Amino acid sequence: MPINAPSQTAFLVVDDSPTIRRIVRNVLVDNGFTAIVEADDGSTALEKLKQHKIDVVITDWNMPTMTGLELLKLIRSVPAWNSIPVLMVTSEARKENIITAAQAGATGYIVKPFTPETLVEKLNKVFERIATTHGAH
Amino acid sequence: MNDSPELEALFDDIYEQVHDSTRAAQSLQEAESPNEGIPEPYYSQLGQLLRHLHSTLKQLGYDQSIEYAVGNALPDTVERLDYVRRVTAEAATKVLDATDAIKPIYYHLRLHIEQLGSAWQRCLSGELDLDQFKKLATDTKSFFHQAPEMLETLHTNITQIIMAQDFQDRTNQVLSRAIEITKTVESELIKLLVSGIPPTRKATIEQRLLNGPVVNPERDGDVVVNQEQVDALLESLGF
Repeated sequence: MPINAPSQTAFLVVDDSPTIRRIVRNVLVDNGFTAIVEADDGSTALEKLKQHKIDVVITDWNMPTMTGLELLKLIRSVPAWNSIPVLMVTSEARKENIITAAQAGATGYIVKPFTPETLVEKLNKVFERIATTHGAH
Repeated sequence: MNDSPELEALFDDIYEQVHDSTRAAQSLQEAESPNEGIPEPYYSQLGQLLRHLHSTLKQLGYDQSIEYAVGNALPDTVERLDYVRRVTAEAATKVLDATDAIKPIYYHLRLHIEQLGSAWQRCLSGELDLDQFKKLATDTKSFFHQAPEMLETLHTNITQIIMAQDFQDRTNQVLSRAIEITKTVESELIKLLVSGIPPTRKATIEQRLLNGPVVNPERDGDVVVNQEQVDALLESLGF
């Protein structure tokens, strides 16, 4: 199943584990995307958001300095970034985590360990949601 | 402060054993060398130490920390390490399964590429008759027909190898917590030991050991890692 998004879509992959960043990057490259920026925690992610035009953020939750949830809340509070979809990919599997993330404005939620199929499926869901939101404008 | 009955009982057991051994050791000593008098009885010293340690612990509330360490932290750490053992084994199996699936394809592709390559070489050198050329064309067509499926299998298994590496992220998180717990237990045990040292020895040992976490190793100069502190302490106690 391909990812239904233009190949120039720019991704920001945020995870303190270099292994996970490489895995996510691999799945994205396999699906034809090359515009991939990486950050190892929320605060470096903010720097990358300032430097690059990012279309989708894929972020871990539990990271040093600034967590994925804090990053998500910040993104939602800045008008310029407000509409960027944020997909959380995390080992935090408790219901309250998922609810908290959803309430903070996460566009999708994936629990680790994940398969490439799951990542593609959730990304497609994210793109469908953006399309609907943009259509409403 | 609540004293744990289990800890109290455990302590009394050990105390009794130590004192029995002390008496046994003393009488043995007396029987063997009645003229040399009684040297500083090691076991009795240890017994006093334990008694002192136990009462100090009760005052300081360390018994609860140790109770926590023994009752929760260590089993929790064991569980975490077991998780690491399990997921690393799973990852290894996934990777080796994938390479098992890839290898026959590699050999198959290599063989056919070699065969077709040399046949085309002979063809271009004008060494093939019409029937041989027809066979080469058929073989080549069938190779191109098979190749995409094999390449797909290669890709699937390469992806499986990549995805299997996610154990690193999970074990890293779990190991970090296990290390944290182990450090806590270790520091509690050091406090426990230090609190039970006779006052004369305590001053020097406390000075050496109670530095708290090393915030700046360069500034603090001669800092030692925890295990060395433990070793030094145990050595000074005669272990």
